[in-house]
Amino acid sequence: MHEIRLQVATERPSAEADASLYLHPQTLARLASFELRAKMIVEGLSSGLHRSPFQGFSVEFAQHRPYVPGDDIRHLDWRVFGRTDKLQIKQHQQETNLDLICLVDASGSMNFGSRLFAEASGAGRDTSPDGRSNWTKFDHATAIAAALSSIALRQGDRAGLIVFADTVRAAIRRSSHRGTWRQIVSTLATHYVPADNQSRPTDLARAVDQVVAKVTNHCLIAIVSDFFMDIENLRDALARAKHHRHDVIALQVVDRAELDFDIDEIAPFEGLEGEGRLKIDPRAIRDAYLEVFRNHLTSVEKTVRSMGFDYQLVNTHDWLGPPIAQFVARRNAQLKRSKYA
Amino acid sequence: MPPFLHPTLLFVGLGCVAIPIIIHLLTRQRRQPIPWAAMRFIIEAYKRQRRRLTLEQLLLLAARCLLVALVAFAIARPLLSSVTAASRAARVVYILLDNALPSSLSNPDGTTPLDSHKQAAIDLLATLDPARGDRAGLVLLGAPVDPAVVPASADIPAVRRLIEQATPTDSAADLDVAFSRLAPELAAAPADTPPVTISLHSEFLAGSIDTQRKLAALPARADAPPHTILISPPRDTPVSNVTITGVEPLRPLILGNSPAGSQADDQVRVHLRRTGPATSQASTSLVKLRLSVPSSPRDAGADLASADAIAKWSPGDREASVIISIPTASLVDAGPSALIATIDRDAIASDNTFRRPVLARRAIQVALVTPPRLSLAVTIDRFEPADWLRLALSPQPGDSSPIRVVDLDPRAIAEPSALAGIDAVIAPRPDLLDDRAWTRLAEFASSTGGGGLVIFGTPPGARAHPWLDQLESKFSLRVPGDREASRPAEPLSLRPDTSAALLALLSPELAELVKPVRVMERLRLDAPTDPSLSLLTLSDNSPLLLIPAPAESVNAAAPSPRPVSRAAVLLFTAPFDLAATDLPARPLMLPLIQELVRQGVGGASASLASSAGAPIAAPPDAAVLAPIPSDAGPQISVSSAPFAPRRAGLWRVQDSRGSALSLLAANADPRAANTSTTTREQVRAYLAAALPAGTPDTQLAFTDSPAPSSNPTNPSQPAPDPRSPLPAWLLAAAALVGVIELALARVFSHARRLSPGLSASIAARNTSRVGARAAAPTTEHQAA
Repeated sequence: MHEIRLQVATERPSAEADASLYLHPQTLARLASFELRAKMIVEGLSSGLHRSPFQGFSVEFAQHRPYVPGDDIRHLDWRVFGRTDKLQIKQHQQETNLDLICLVDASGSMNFGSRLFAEASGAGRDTSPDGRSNWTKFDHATAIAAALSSIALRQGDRAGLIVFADTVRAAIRRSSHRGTWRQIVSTLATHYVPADNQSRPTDLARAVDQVVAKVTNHCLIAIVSDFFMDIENLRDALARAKHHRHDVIALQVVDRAELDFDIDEIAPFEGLEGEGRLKIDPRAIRDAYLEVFRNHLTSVEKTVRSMGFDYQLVNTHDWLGPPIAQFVARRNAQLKRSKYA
Repeated sequence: MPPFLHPTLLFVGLGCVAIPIIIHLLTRQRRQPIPWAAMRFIIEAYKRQRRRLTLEQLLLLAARCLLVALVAFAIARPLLSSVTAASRAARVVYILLDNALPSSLSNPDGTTPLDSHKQAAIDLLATLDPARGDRAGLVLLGAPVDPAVVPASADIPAVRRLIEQATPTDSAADLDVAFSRLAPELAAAPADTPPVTISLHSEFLAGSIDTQRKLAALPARADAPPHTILISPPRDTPVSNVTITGVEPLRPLILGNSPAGSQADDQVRVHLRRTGPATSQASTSLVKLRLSVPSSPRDAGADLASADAIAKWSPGDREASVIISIPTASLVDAGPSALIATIDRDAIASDNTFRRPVLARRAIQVALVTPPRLSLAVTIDRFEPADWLRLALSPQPGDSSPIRVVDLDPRAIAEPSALAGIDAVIAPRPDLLDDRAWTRLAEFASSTGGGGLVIFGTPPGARAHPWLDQLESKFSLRVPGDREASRPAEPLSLRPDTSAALLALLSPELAELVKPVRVMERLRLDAPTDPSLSLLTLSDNSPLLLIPAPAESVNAAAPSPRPVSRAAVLLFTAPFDLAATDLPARPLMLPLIQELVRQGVGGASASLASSAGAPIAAPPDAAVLAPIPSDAGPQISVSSAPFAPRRAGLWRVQDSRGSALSLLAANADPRAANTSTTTREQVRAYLAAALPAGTPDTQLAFTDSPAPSSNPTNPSQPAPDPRSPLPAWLLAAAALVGVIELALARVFSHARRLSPGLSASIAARNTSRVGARAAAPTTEHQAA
C-alpha cells in the first residue's frame, strides 16, 4: 500500500508562475513532433493544416464534377478526358488553420492530489508557489492544457482558454500569437481554486453554453476535467458542442488515490464540493466504491464516444508525455484512416 | 439474580463493559477529517453498504461487551444455584465446623484456620437455595459439641449468621459426639429423600481430632444412595507450640506463716509440653508464675506473690517440668486465690496460660473439740487425745505458727458463731457430741467456703461406739464394720503403702515413719472398696485412717442429704491414746496431722480446676458462677447439669447470698494443643469408620479432589465449586466469544487482500496499447 498524502490547495499566488513548474521543456519537445488535427472540418482564418469547408482549387483534391460552361478550363482533368472522353472539373478542398479551446475544470474536486509536488513537478521544487506540497488534479490539468496549447501554437493554430467550475471563471481569447501560450500557463497557474470545501459542483453544460455562444467558427474543444458530475450534464454539454459542430476531446484527470482507494485509516471523509463529512471504514466500502467509480468512468467514456468525440483518462501519478502523445497519435491515425477510406 | 462471591468485582467488571464504547468515542473524537474529491462515490458506496456496516458494527460491539461482561461474571464467581437447581432435588447439608483449640492457631498472615473454615462453609451455603427446599444444619465441634442447627433448617441466612459468629473454643473437637447427634437425623431421613451431605471443615491437627479413636458408624440407608462426607484437606504444614499442661502446688493450701526455721516458700511444679517441628531443637521457655487473688468483680486479680523460672528443652524433648518457688512469707488472708502460670505467646495463645485455684491463707484455725480441762499443768503420761493432737498441730505455740488451735467445748458447737472462722474441726472424742453438735458439724463439713474439714477420732477406753451411727445419719456416710473396739492378740503394725492423695507428700518417707507405730486397740471397720479412701492400713487390712464413703440412697423417693466432699471427713479407727496405739508418740504423728490438716483444708475447699470442654461439678452451695473479670462473659446459674466451659477462664463460685465460696478454673485442653499434622490417609481411615458397612469409599472425598460422581446431590457437583479459581464454563464461554470476536473483527475489518484498484487496470490497458512507452518514468524529472 503506497503512502497517500492528501492535501488541498489553499491559495494560488497572484504572481506569474513559471510554466516549467507544470511542464518540463523536454516533455514539450517530445510532443513537438505530433500534430493536433481536427476530426471534423473547421473554418480557419488562414491556410493551415486543416480542411476548410470552403472548397476550391487549393492544395488537396476533393472530387470531380461535370464541366459546365463558364468553368475555368484550367481545372479540367485532362487525364479523365483522355480515358473517358468526358470533361470533368477537379475540385480541391481548401485547408485552413485550427482553433483550440481548452476548457479546464477549476471546481473544488480538482483541488485534490495525493502525489508529491516535488515528484511531479518538472522544475524540481518541493512545493508549489503557494506552498503546497502535493500535486493536484488542477496542476495536472494545467500541464495538459499547456501541452495541448503548445502543440497547437507550434503548428500555427490558434489557442484559447476557458477556466470554469459552475460557470466560466476565466477566459483567454484564441490567438496564434507566440505569447498566448505563456498567457495560458500564467492564467492557469494563478487561478484561484476554492479551498473551503463548500464550492458548487461542476456545471459543464453551462460553461459550454457560454463558450459556444461566443464562438462562431468550428473549434476543437479540449475539456480537461475529472468529470465528477452527472452524466446528464455531460451529455447536454457534449450535445451542444456537437450541435454547433465543434470537435471535442475529453481528458478525464483522476488521482491514483481515487482510482485505488487504498486507505485503511478509519476517519471522517470530507467532500470538497460541499458534500459534508462521513465517518467510514474505507476498507469496508472499498469494493463498492471501486464499482461505483468504475461505472462512472465507463459512463463518461461511453457518453463521450457516443457523440463521436475522443476520450482519454489521465492519472495524475503518470508522466504526462506518454498519455498525451499516445492520444494524439491514435487520434491522428483515426483521422488518416477516415480521410483515405 | 444469582448470588455472587465478589459482587464488587462484578460491578467493576460490568463497568468495564463501557470501555469499548469509551474507546470508540475517544477515537471518534480524535480523528482528523480526510479531504476527498470523489466524495459523491463514497456516499453512494456507503448508501449501498450502510445497513451491512451498521450490522457489522453492532455485532462487533455486542461481542466485545459480551466478552467483558463474561469475564466480569467469571471473576465475580457466580453461584448459579438457581440455574443448576432446576436439574436437581432438594439438598440437605450438615456443616461440621471445627472450632476447637487448634482452630485458633495464628497463621503467618494473621488469619486462623477457623476463618478459612467459616469462609468455606459460607461458600458452601451459598450454593443452597431455600426455594428449592435446600436445608442446612450446623454443628460446632469444639467440646462440648454445640448442635447449633440440628435438624437442618431452611433458614440458610440464619445458619450463615451462626457460622459467622462462631468463635474458637479452648477444648478439643469431639467428632464422635457430633456424629452421635447427627445419627438420629440421618436415620430419620426417608429412603426417597436425597442423601445427606456432611461437610466437615477441619485441619485435622492431632490436638483437634483424635484419629486414634474409632468413630461410631452413621446409620445406613436401605435401598437408597448413601450419605456423603466431604472433608476439607488436612493441614500439611506443622506448627510448633508449647503448652502448659499442669500447675501443681505441693498442697492446695498455701500458708504464709511457716514454722520458725522453715523456709517461707512454697514450691509449685509447672508441666509443659511441646509439639511440632521445634521438638527436634533445643530451646527454653520462660515460665512466669503468680499467686493472684481476684478480689473484685472488675479486677482480674492482685498478685500476692510471683516468681519465674526457665524450662530447658533438649532436642527430642516433648515434655518438661519446672519447679518454681513462690515466696509466701508475706501472704495475707485474701480469700480464694489462683496460681496463674504463663509462657511466651506462640502459635496457640490460649494454652499459654494455666490457672489453678488454691487456698492462700496466712494461717488456718483448727478447732479441737474437747471438754474444758480443770487442771492447768498436764504431764505427758496424763495426755488426753486432744493434747496429743494439739501438740501435733502446734508443736511451737505462738503467732508464728500457721496453724492456730482453738479449743472448742462439745456443748458449744451448736452455737451459731462457734465455728466462725474455723477451717477444720478435729473431734477426738465424738462420743461427747450431742445430736445438735452432729448436725452442726455436718453442715460445717458440707460447706466448702469455710474449710469444712472434720477429723474424727475414736474415744479411748470405750467398748461400744454408737456415735458411728451419727456419722452415717448426719453425714450420710457409710461406715461398715464392728461397732465395738477390739484388741488384737498382737499389736498391729501399719502397712507402708498408701495411695491416698492426701498423704502424697509423705509417701516417700512413709515406710520409715510407720515402722515404729503399733496399734493395740482399734475399731475394726471394713476396708473401703476404693483403696484410695484408706489412708493408713493396718497389717490386718483394716483401716486406721480412712475417708468414709458416701452412703447410697436406699429410698430413692426420699430426699437424700446433699453429698459431702469425701475429703472433708476423716476417721481414725484408733484413739489417740498410748494404751491403744503409740502413734501419738511416734515421729509419724506430727507430719501426719499437719499434712492432713493442710491437705484436707485445701482439698475441702475443692480444687475446682478442669480442662475446657470437660464438665466441672459445682460445689453444693454454689448458686452462681461469676466470670473473672466480670466482662469476660455472662454469669452462669448453677443447675443440676455439670458446668462444661468451652473457653478457659476463672469463675468465682458464689452462693445464693453472693458470698464467694471458691474459684473455678478451666484451662485449655492440653490434648487439644497438639499441633502435629495428620495425613490424608489417616483422616480417611478415621472417617471411613463412620460410614455404614458396605458404603463405597467414593462417598468420602476431600473438597480439593474430584467429588463423588455417584451422588447427584453433592453440593459441589452440580454447582460451581466455590473453591475453584473461576467457573470453568464462564471462562469457556468468554473464550468462545473472544474467538468469535476475533473472527468477526477480522472479517469486518476488510483487512483481507485488496482487490486491484483502477489504476492497475488502467496501467495494464495503457501497457497493451503503447507498449514500451508505458514503462516510461512516471516523473517529469525522470523523463528529463
